Amino acid sequence: MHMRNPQERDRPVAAGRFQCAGQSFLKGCRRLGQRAWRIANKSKVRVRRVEASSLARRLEEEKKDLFALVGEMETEFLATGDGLSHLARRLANIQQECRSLSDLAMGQTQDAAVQFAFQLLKKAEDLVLASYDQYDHLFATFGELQQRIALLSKQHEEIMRVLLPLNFITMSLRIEASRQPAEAQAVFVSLAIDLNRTVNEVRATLEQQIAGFHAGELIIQALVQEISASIQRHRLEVTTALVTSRNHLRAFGDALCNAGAGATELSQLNHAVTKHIGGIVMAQQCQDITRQKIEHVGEAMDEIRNQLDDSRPAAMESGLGTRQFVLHAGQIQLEQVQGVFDELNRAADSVKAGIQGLRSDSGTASDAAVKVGSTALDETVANLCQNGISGILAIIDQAVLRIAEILAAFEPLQAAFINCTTKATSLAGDVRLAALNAQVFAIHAADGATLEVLAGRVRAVSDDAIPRVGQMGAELYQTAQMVNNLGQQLADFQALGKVERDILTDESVLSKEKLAQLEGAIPLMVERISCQQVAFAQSVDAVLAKVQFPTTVAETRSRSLEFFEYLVTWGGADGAGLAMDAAASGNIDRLRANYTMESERQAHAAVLLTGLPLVRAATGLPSSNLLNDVPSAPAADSGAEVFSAGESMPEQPMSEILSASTTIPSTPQPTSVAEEPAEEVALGANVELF
Amino acid sequence: MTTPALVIPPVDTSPPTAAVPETTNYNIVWVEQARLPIAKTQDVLLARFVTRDQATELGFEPAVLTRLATAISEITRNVVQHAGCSGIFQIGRVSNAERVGLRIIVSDKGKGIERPERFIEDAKLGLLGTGLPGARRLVDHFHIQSAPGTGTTVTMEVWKTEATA
Repeated sequence: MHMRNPQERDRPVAAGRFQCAGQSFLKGCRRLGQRAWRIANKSKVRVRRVEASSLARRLEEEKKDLFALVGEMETEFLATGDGLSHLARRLANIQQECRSLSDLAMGQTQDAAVQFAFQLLKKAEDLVLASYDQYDHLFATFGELQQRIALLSKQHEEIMRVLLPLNFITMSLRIEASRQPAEAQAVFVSLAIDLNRTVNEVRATLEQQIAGFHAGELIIQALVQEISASIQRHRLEVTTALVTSRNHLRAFGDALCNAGAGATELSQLNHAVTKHIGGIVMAQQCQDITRQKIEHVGEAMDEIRNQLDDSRPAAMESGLGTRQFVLHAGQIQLEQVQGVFDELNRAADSVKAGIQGLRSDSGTASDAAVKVGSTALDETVANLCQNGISGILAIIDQAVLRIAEILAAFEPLQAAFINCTTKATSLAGDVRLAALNAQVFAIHAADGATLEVLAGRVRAVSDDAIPRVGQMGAELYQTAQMVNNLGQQLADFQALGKVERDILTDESVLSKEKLAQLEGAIPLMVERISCQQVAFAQSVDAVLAKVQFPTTVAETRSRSLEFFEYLVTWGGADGAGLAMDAAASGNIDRLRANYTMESERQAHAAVLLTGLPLVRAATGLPSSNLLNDVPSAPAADSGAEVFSAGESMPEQPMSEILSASTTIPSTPQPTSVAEEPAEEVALGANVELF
Repeated sequence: MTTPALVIPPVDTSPPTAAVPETTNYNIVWVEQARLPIAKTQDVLLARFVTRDQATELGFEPAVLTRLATAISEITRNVVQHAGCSGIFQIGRVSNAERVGLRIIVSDKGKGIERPERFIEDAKLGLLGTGLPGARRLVDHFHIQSAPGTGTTVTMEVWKTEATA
């Protein structure tokens, strides 16, 4: 505390008077100063009012401009959304066609034409190979038959050699019988005649049978030789027909694979195109959240304007509260608008990238479609394959007929063998009987010693001949069995061959129809896809021409940010950094509260609901469907609900907010060639929902 | 279809030795007279003839008969051409509470193949519709068991659905 000096108490009174005069002068000056201050203050307030009024006007204009931007974005979104929706539908149609073409061309169906034809060829080849097996068996059997006939001839000669002495024996019997009494003479002459007849009969019969065997052998040999030659020819024909048919089918299959691969490639390219459409739609969705944010900014701008319009003299006199409010509110709005434009810039970049990608990929897809369209399909392949199969079936027919001929040729031979076996057995019995009779008569003759000798010789011939005849009979039986087995086997194959041939003939008709349908369908599908893809690329240009969003955002951004920066600068003049009064502070808190998650979500839901009629008008979908597609807000205790009221919302990209709040359930898509369940693809495929 | 009087050669009638995977709970009745040796091409024809015959009796559609006969041809032909020894073809009628079908087993004790599933998995191999992949897609159930030196057993099933009824 300051203490006064005691010496100063004695100062003169004059000095006090002078001091009083000075004080009155100072008062006057003060009054003058106060008047000047008041005048200056009034002038300053007037300037501030003018500035505030101007600022309020600019605020109004800026607000209008911001809302105009949002309105333009919405209008453009509806217009381009309609176009993109149309593109997405066309693309979905092309994708469907590509899938159908791919399935058809790649033979994914159970009864695919090319596979069916290949399998038919193999089945026909089985039949041909089986017939060759039969021929091989026939040739082997015929070789054995020839050997057996040669053996039979030899056995026949042996038997004839053995029976030859009977001629001399019967002559001796007659001579000796002439010396006997008349009764005995008649018996022995009769015996000699019987023996002669039997021997002659045996000789004639066996010679006839053997000659028949040889004749049959010659016939069969000629048939076998002919068959052998024809089989060589048929093998060549079948091999050529199979190779040619397979080559045609392979070429056709390759062309189909190319068409299918082209369709798959096209499908993959279109998948990327769908993704681009989804990306553009996704990016354009930012207009939704932009409106919401601009609504809040607009409210704040109204608040600022109200503050500026406030005509309370006290407020205007100091100007501090208004400027502080403008400063803080302006800073918040600048921050928000910067955030909005940053997001819009990102969205604009996405749209630009999407447009570029869409143009590029749809152009590439168009070129690919033209390439697919130029896929060459041999239009004669069905006929050529059919001819090949028909040729093979004709050979099978011939094989079946030939087997019938062989069976017919073997039939008399088979009968001859059986007949010959019977005759040979009967012959052995006759010779033995004659020998026994001769021996019995010789015993009863009066002087029969010579006759007994002769009868013994007949018996000896008989004993020698009988096993030989038995051997020959066994050989004949085995040969007959062999021929019988061959006949049975050939008859079985003939029956099986007929059944198979009939089935294969029916299948070949079916195969021809399938191939012909494929030949007809694939080029049409390819042409349709090609035309659709080229038209799609043209439509893309028309739709994209309507997209002005990136340009509009770029123009508005610089102007708007410049204004809010001026607002902050204006608010910061004179009063920057000073503490706010309670009322201004309350208003600022209220403004901040607008940017909490809860507030944003409510505002977003309101925008969606109010925006529905527009979207419905653009899409033609009933609002109930759209409402059903809008997911409800997350529960209050969900992980996302972590910000309390009044707390400022942290930076969050719009795309995240969008993906969290506007997820549209995708409709089930048919399996595509390249599955990539990206969100944007689903979005692109469901673009009509927006 | 007229059935020719075929003479089926006698074959080993012992029960199947190969492990048969049980896919569903059903009854099976093997057709003993339709057990065939698979040694030559004509046996391929016989096997598909018998299969068609059995399938016709069960009332399968002609399209299914063709598919089945084709699958049998592919598998039995593999035995004739690649097994290096003869095989056995068996066919049985399967049924459960709802439907009936056929089970066919073609087995051999020949060379066998290593990792047979690769023939099934590789779609390119079946592009021409032949071989194991071709056979697999023609039937409702397909199972192959094979290893080098131990032979191969292929089990196939077709079931009569409402559509084919």
